[in-house]
Amino acid sequence: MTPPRQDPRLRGDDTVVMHAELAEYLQCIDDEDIKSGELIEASYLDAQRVMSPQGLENYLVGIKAMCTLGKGQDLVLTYVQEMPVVAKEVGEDILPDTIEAIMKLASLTSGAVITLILANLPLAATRLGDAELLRGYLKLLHQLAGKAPRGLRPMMEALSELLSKLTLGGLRRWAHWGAQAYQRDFDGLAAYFALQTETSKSVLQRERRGTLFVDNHRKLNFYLRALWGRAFFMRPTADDFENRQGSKPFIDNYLVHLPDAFDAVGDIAGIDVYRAAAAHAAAHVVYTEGAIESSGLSPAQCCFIEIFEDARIEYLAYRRFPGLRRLWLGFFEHAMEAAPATQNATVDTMLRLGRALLDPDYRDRESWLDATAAAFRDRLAQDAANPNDSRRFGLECFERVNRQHAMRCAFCSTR
Amino acid sequence: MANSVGQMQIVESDRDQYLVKKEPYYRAVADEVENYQAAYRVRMPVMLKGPTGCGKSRFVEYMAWMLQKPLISVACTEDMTASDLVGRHLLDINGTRWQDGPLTVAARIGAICYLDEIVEARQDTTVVIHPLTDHRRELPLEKNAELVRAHEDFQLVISYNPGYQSLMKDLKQSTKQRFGGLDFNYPSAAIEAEIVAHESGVDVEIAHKLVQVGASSRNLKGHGLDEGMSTRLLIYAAQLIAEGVAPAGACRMALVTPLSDDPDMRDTLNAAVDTYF
Repeated sequence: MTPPRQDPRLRGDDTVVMHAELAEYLQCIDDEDIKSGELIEASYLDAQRVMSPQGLENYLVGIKAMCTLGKGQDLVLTYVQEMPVVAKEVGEDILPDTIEAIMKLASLTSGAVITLILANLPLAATRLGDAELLRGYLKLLHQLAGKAPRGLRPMMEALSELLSKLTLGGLRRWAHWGAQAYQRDFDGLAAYFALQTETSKSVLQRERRGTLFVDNHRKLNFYLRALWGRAFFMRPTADDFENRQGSKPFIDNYLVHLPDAFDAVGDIAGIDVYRAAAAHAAAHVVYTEGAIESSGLSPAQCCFIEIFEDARIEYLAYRRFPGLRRLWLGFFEHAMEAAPATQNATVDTMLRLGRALLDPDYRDRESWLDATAAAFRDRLAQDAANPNDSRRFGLECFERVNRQHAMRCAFCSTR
Repeated sequence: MANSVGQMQIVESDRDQYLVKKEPYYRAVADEVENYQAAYRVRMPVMLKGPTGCGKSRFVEYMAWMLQKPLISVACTEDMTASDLVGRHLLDINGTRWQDGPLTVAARIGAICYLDEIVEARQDTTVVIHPLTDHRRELPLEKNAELVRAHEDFQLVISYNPGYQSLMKDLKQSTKQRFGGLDFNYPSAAIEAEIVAHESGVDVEIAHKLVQVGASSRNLKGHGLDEGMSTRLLIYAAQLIAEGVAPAGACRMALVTPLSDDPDMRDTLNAAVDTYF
């Protein structure tokens, strides 16, 4: 009679092999603790599913490192249990960085707090959604462990609420504000980091950004696939620590980088800002066939070429998806209404040029700008596939604006 | 014998009611009409495969009209039994009497019997069609102790959506290999716009935009949607627009709301609608 088939992962021989692999790394764990043994086995199987051999090796080295800290069995078991989840969320490359961060933290804070940090790491990985952002988060924890170690525990307990509302930049500003304000008031510090004071909540509100990438990643994936019928790879980037405006979207090796949060722009909701940015970037990925020759050109010349190249790419996109023009146009309309009177004249010209290229109904106060936009649109209607037109129009436009600027300067100096 | 004569009388009088009287609108997209006609000439059972709402049933109606043959359609369900197809004994004031099922009626009167969404029926139900779909062309009614030889005009057509196929819902090979197959899909954009415009009365420009919305949703098949918007749904939306409903509202009602309950997906589909209207 054939014995009943059993899940091969649970067969005794595999378990023995697994134990043999793990034994070397788990010397600090009590052999008699059956529950720990089961947890380790289950976590190791999870790790095998989500990690490459190299990742698994790093994971095991990490277990050994956690043991050498001598901060208790809980810390090691939490590491064993949580790291496969973290690796699944942001990739296994985060493992060495995490181990290094934990080693650094070990000299600054207690084992219980580090255990709490590790226990919350999957949450942070899920909410930040990117390995680079998680590295930034670990760096922030290290800074806080130096400046306000007593804030770490309450902050970990409030982390779910904090990360549901803040970007990494916002979290940094919120945490640094509290660490600075309560550096000599331990009770106040603990209350601030536990979100139990009005000040803490009001700083949180101030730092709160409208729409988070992580909450809309799925929608954006659907949106771009619905339009172009293919996958686009997007990842969030944080660069809003010093400047709340955040970083601009960019494309690197077909990977679309979008800010980890967007505020509404006038009447345009945050999700539509994301859609506009993602669709623009995707249009570049789809329609850009080669780099425009830019050697020997100044940054200002490149800027003007970019305006025309953006217009060309957007033309190709809205010719197929007419609603995109309406979506993109909203940003120009808002920017022109909101532009301060003191705005740099060249920046103002670039803004108006961008709008004129996108909006045939727009009439500028300078007729040459309308004529240039109309000529470029006519050129696009004949052949929109040629990026050299963007270069030619961009350089011509730059020369014109440069001459105007020189004349204006000459006029000013004669007065 | 009296039973058979009685049934023959019923058959003759009922044949007309199954005829398709008015020409259904059907826009051929390739050589499916000619291929079907050839299959009918040799009475080859035909299997129509394609996504929901792409015109399979309309095609069968059209072919029945073109061939001037009666059409008996059966929407298959998982609760359907073999008796629902072939017939059963019923009780009436005079005792029991045999009542033909739609398959038996079709075989007797020489109709095209169309079993829609055949995979919905259980596999033990679908095997009853086997004797009708090979050289025998006969239907044994064991409960009535009768062997019905199919009328020379009889033909069996089945349809199903391969998208619904799974390990639990698929036809047996022994069933599949009794049919010639015609693949259906959503027509090309120009033809689909022509169909939508014809069926609803909206102008071709609006129909074309609706078709583009449909194409966007079909890009999401297997990536959050089980199925994209069908031509049938696009026609519904167009009909609402023709009735004066604003295009965006019509699309939400006819295209987005029925398609998905996932809030992210609905949000995306609404955004796709806004991209065209």
